[in-house]
Amino acid sequence: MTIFTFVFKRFFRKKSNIVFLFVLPIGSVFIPTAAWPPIPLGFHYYSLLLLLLAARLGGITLEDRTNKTLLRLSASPISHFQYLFQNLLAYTVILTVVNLVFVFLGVIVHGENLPSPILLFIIYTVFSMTALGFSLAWYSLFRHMETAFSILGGVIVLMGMLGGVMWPVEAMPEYLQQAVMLLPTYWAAESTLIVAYGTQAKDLGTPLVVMILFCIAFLLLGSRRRLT
Amino acid sequence: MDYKWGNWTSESATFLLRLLGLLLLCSLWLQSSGEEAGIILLLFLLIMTLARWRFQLPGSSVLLDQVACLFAIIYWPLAAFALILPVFESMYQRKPLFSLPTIIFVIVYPETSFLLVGIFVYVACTGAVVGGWKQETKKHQREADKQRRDRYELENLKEELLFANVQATRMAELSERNRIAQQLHDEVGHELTASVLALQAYEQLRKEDESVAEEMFTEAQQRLHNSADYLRETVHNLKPITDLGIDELQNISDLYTQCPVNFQVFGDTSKVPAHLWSILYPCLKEALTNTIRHAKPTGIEITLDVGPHILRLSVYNDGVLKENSDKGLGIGLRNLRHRTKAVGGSISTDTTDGFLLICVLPLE
Repeated sequence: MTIFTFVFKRFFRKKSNIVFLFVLPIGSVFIPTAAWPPIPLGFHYYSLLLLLLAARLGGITLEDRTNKTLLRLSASPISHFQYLFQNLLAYTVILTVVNLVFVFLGVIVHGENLPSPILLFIIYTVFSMTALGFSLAWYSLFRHMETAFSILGGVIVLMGMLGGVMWPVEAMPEYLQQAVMLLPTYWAAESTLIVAYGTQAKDLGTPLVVMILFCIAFLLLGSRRRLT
Repeated sequence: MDYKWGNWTSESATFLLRLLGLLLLCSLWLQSSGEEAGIILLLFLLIMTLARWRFQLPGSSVLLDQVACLFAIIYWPLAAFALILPVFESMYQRKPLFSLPTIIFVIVYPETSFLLVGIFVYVACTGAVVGGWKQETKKHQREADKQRRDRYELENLKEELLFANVQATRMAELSERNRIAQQLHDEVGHELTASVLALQAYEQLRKEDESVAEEMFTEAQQRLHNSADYLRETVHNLKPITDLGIDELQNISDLYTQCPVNFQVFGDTSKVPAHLWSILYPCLKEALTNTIRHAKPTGIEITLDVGPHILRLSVYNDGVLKENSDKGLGIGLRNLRHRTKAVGGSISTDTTDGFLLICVLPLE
């Protein structure tokens, strides 16, 4: 598990990464509940934050590709699967810890106002995997870190707006309402809304399955070995 | 645009057809009322398609797609159209039996429409065609690989043969030299020695004024006469039937009558070994033949330059290339290039002004 441990060393070597990783989630814990949705706003927006964090983490793979680390790795006895698996595992562990801290702080700050924190944690964990898959697939399309990251910011915000994170999907035109179901953010927002409105836990099944399917599709797309 | 069409492979066509199928399904789903089963099915099919693109999935994996589609039909009736993807895949992989569930479904399903059946048949044909395309490409690639390998082997063999040719020439020269030495020693040598001895005896006998001296002299004379005969015979046996060397080269150039030929020789041509002559003749012949075929010259200049270490044959004609002649090297020149390479020489051509062929061969 050399690569696994190295991801931590490498990511936390930059102090800015630690700040980025914790300041935004912790800050968003304190956003109060607004008119919509019936949940502290930060917990609804959190899927966007997860996408951003995953983008930051997933950038490591693109960095490896641009500075030819991947090329050198291909000559070593480490398989591409091992490389991807250990990287993704490390990212998942990091994001899960952040999720845990986030939900824990939420319980402390909002107390009873936060409905079923365990379900929220499950949703966030599943969605963080989807977000990691998305960033992996995204970066596999690009050659330069700057281009990929700057476009990705816009795409994430757009996905958030269309996916019903910023405002309810019902506020959008009829024909868009179904099309946005093709975005993973829709399902993240949908599942937090299900939790917020306190509907039965078994309704969460579909969004979670869809998010996992998205994750698999993204991983298949992003795990292609590109050396240049 | 033509260039891009030429780049199309069966892989890119397959990729595009799969993507098109998914996109069409997606738009079909968008037009129907929002069903969650639809998006799960779409994602599942997307995953299967991506997996097929990334890995070599077994043919039976289309059964999984069909099961998913058939399940989804319960919640979203239009999912029947999603069966086009497994049908395409099974025909693409040349395993039509795996689309049996779809066929049974079409027969059993009460709402089977003509449109649905038509689309299935059409997609099955498309899959079969693209699959055939892929197999054809594979077959041709394999064939091309085999031919290439054969060609390399043949070229190797040819080089070895050419090398063996040089070796054989040297061996022949050596054995010939041996034979000459043997003949000179066995016949001429003995006779000469005997006549030298006879002459010495005659000298002695003449001093003593013996009568046998006259007899001795006649014998010595006879022996010298014999050895002269043997020598003539040996030399006659050695001489080859055909002309060898510079005469033959001169002959070739004399036979060319289309335009005046200026033939010049510098240096001592007797130093040139036989196996190099066997390259120079075809070289000159090839150059002259090419001139007839591809150019209309007003004069040809042939120069043979024999230096201490190399010899250089240059054939130059001032004619312009005929229009229909191609620029690449012909078989004749390529062959010659191989042969010269085998003895360590080279052939180069220049077409900037007329046609110039230079053959350089090393002398040992």
